Amino acid sequence: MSNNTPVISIRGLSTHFGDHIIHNRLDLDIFKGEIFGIVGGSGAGKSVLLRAILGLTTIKHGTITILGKDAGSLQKIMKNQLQKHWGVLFQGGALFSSLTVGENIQVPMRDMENMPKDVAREMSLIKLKMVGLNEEDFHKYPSELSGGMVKRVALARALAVDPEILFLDEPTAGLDPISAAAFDELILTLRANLNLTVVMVTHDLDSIKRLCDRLAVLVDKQAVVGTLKELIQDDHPWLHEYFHGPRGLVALSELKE
Amino acid sequence: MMEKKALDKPKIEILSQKDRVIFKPYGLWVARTIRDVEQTCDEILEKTYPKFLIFDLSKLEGFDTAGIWLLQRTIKKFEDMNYKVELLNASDSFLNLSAQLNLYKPSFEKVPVQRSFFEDRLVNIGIATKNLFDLTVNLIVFLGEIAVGSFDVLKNPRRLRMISIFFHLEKFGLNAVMIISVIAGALGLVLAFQGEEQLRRFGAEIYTINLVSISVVREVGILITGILVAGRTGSAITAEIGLMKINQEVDALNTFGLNPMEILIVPRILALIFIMPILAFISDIMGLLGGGIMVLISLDVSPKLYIYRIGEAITMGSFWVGIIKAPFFGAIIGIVSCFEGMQVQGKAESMRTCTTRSVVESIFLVTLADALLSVFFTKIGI
Repeated sequence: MSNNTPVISIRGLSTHFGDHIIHNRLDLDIFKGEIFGIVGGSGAGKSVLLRAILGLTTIKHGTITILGKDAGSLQKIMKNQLQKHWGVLFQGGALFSSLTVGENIQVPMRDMENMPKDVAREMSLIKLKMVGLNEEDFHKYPSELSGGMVKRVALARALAVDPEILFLDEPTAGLDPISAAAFDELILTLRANLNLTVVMVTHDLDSIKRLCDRLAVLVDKQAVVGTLKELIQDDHPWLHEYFHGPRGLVALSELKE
Repeated sequence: MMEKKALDKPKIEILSQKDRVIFKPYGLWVARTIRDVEQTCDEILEKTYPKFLIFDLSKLEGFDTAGIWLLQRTIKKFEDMNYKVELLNASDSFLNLSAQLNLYKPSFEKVPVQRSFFEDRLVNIGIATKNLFDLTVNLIVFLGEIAVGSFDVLKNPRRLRMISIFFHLEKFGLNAVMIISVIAGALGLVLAFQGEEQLRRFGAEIYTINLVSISVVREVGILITGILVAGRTGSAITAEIGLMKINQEVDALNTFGLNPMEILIVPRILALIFIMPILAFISDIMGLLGGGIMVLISLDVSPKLYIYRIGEAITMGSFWVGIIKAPFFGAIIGIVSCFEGMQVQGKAESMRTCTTRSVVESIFLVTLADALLSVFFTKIGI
């Protein structure tokens, strides 16, 4: 699955929150075509790591390279036009509340890529159906949608211009198990067909088992990276608790033999 | 770099054979180049060809859903024109993706039709009328709840949240002193300046002092305080309580069996009622001070004379007429802004409308109350 050039490469990343150090000299490589999970306890800095990659948090030390180009701050990202290569699904959806569903999906198409109006309209409908919604939702406002629908619209918006990298922040949180499973399948289909690299922050062990090729577990301000099988064998106390705790046992039972 | 750009640019090479035409798409067919893709597709659609068409995709460098969609659309259009179309050298991922796209083909008839401009206006009028009715009912309910909440507190004064009241006294009062002083001072200054200019024509410029002191003490001081507090504190209260509603903090209080009226609303309204007279007094003093500065500069009177003339111009009655309005204004602002805060529902948009409404309604009601009270006090001869 992975070849040797990393899509995202993080070297010596340190971030802090006031006096509180969140990451200390963290290294991470994410390769093309893989679904990469970021897990960790509450407050371990999963979302901060994602925000650092997206240039939304100032980083103290270290370098972040995306698609071979320098990133790490919004200025560098804009200079290298990196925002055109990724789509982001924020935890709460972050849909623009003053725009309809259709207009939300068209924002990246019209404003970033200057797509003609009729094509953008057709494409936005296709993306909407791709994430499992239908035409009737096209003119609805975000305030009229349920939580699961908001996530789906946000995913459609993240996929609007076929990004190479898709960032998902807790995509299945707040979804019922059936929707969450459907969401997992959707991500797999999209990855298979669109040649996506997916970076996801998640807590959902079922999702991790179904989707992730490799994982980074954030413990002790560092990232422990490996496949799920490797990490289950790891004897770090937090990792052990995470994968062998009561919830881990159920979700991962067949992997443990 | 330029060469690469040229390669990326989507185009179609047309090879004519005896009974067929082969289209060879080149370059990147992606969202980024979609304008060129559409143009290319439109160009080939304009001409006429033999019956048999072949799309040879061997030279296609890159594609995404947008590119495939346009290619599919073009092929569909050809087929509708009774051409026979065949795909050649399509990669697996191309076929997969285009099969996927076929599943998600949009049907525009199913998109609900948006209302016309006229219908939209009509519906808006209906919604506004219904909202007005609902709002009135809600306001009556809210006033009732405040009454019940206050009564509970009165029955059992230990349930009065003193800490909360003092906290809000500081936030609404102390922190507003600076801005109110500056604006009241400036208003006094302007009033004196303009008044003196007009009164000088009659040689009555010394009455500028009467003009300034009476208008500041009776009207301007308290009115500007009311408007400033409505804008500054009223909007803050609405936003704060609205956020608590969105955050479900109000629901949480209810589940604990605690009355949000008692905990959130009553302390804020009481704090405003207490603090408004003090702010009004400060505003009066600053207005007189501002007027005084102007008078001293342009009328050549001594400070002592200025103070003496003020004492002659305003009676204790005039002073109290101004101050007595303050608690009413405080109550109006408190009730309106808390009420609008509690009207916030679910999502962020309602916060916007409620905050706007809160400020507009408080200022409107404060001005209205001021007018009514002024007429009343004049009629009874104070």
